[in-house]
Amino acid sequence: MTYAIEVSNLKKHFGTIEAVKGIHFQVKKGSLFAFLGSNGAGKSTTIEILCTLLEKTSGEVTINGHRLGTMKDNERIRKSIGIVFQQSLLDKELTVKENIIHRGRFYHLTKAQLIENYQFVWQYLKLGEIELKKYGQLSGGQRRRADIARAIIHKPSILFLDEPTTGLDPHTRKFVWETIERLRKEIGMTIFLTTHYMEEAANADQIVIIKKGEIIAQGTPNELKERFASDQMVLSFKKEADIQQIAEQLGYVMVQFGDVYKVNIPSTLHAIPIIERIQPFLTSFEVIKGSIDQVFIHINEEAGDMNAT
Amino acid sequence: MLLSLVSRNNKVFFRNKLLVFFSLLSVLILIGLYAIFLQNLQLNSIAEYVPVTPEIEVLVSEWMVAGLLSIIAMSATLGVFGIYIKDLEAKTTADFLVTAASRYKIQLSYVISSCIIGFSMTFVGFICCEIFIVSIGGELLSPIAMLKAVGILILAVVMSSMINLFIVLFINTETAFSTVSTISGTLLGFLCGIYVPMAVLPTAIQSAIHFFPVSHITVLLRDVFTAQSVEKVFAGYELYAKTYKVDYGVIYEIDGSILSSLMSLLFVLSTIIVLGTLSALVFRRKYK
Repeated sequence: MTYAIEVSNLKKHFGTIEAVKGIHFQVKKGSLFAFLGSNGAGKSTTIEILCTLLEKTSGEVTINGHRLGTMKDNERIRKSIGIVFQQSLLDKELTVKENIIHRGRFYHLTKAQLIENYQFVWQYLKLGEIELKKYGQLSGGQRRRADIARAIIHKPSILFLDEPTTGLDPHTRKFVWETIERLRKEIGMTIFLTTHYMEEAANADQIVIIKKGEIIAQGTPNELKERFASDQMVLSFKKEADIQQIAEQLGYVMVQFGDVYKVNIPSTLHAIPIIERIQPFLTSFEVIKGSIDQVFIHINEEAGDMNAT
Repeated sequence: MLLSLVSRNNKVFFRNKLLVFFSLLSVLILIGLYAIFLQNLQLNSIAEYVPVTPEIEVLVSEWMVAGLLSIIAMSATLGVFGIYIKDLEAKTTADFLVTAASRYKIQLSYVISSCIIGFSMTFVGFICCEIFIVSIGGELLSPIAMLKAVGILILAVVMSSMINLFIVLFINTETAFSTVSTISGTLLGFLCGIYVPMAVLPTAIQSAIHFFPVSHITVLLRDVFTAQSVEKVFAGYELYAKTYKVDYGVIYEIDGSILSSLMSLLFVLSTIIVLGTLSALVFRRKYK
């Protein structure tokens, strides 16, 4: 069994609205899987179905070898997954430790197991300074640490994170990222992530982009970049240069943006011969590698156009 | 697991000072109203029938205490269901549902918490009331009367929990909940004949109150609390004793005959059973 999650032809209807329209994807064990989409794309619906919070309309979902649907299997699935929700859901009136221990007890762990697991998350998420503070008094970053600790108190093999870094300061975002990376590398946890920050998805092993309930693109970050994001050259010329003549020499379309000119090229290497040829006219140049941001914007626009026509 | 859920609810409740305060608010208002004018009003009207003795003040206080205790049970249990609404709206319930806890156990945990908290607050209230009665020159309840009172209070808490459970199953937001809680806090005093004695109300409203289950708790408690004092105050004026009891809702007179305590008890018990069953049905429908 190499897949932690297998989804095939998953559909979810709310009345007449089709929120998820038959999607397929697989998540490899121990991988970092990024699930992208704008608001209302069907991201949250999908994640809620996978986490057993919402019943699917049809389709097959297998998580850690258990088929989602029956009570028994759902219960097995719940024990093997952890979830960091978008909002903070721990009790503000209780301390971090009380919160985590209480939620840990809901998993039928033995007392000894729970204490051992608590010590593990205590160390892993550096809870020492905050464990006796009330959750309601913590800063946003400290809350996220407590949230992650709660999500892994029963040592799940898959961790779902629903926009875990939205609204956090850069320092905490980095901490969250390092923690996720460590969980994956040191413990082999599978990470299923939804995010708005494209640069976060750039670290993923696989990206799936969903729009209006359908998958519109999937692949590794590099595959997606190759397919959808082109590299770009930004040129600025000397005053006396004959732009018309240069444009004819290039063999690529050149578009003016203010006082610079942009040229899309298949890969950064293509820039070298061009630069050599037009060097006498240049005052400066820049070669920019296509980013995952571009992929996202490009694909979304493209799909939008398709839907519009 | 169920125990962990219950202990979590209890901690959240007692550490949320606002929740505790609001669940006691109607009680505080009642005490305030009493201190300001309700007590004097009643003292004066009893004095029209019988000679003025210090016992009258004790009687009126005992009468008030009975009403107060029946209100604590309702407002405390409703306060605990405030946690359920908060969890529902903040989606904390989702964080429980992804554990091994089932929706049914989660719901049951609020009911159990409401009974535990409802009873502990009622019991503390009961002790305070007894101390208050003794401090103004009254007598402690006899051991048997005390057992009766505690028994009635337990029933009061369980019934209040069932009534409130049934109500909150139709509520999904905190805004709606606070509206309901304000209305219930205001209406309770009237529907149990505490703010205004029964006799003053129009017959139609009196009949409506006869059908309000919580008022039967008030009646049962009044009967237990005031028994000794009624005898003392109306010694030699036994004819007026019955008039007083009916006018002030110590006993119910329906169609010319006195409703026995047993009937009130049966009414309370059947309310518990009927609302418990209805809640179970609504719950299954809501989350099928």
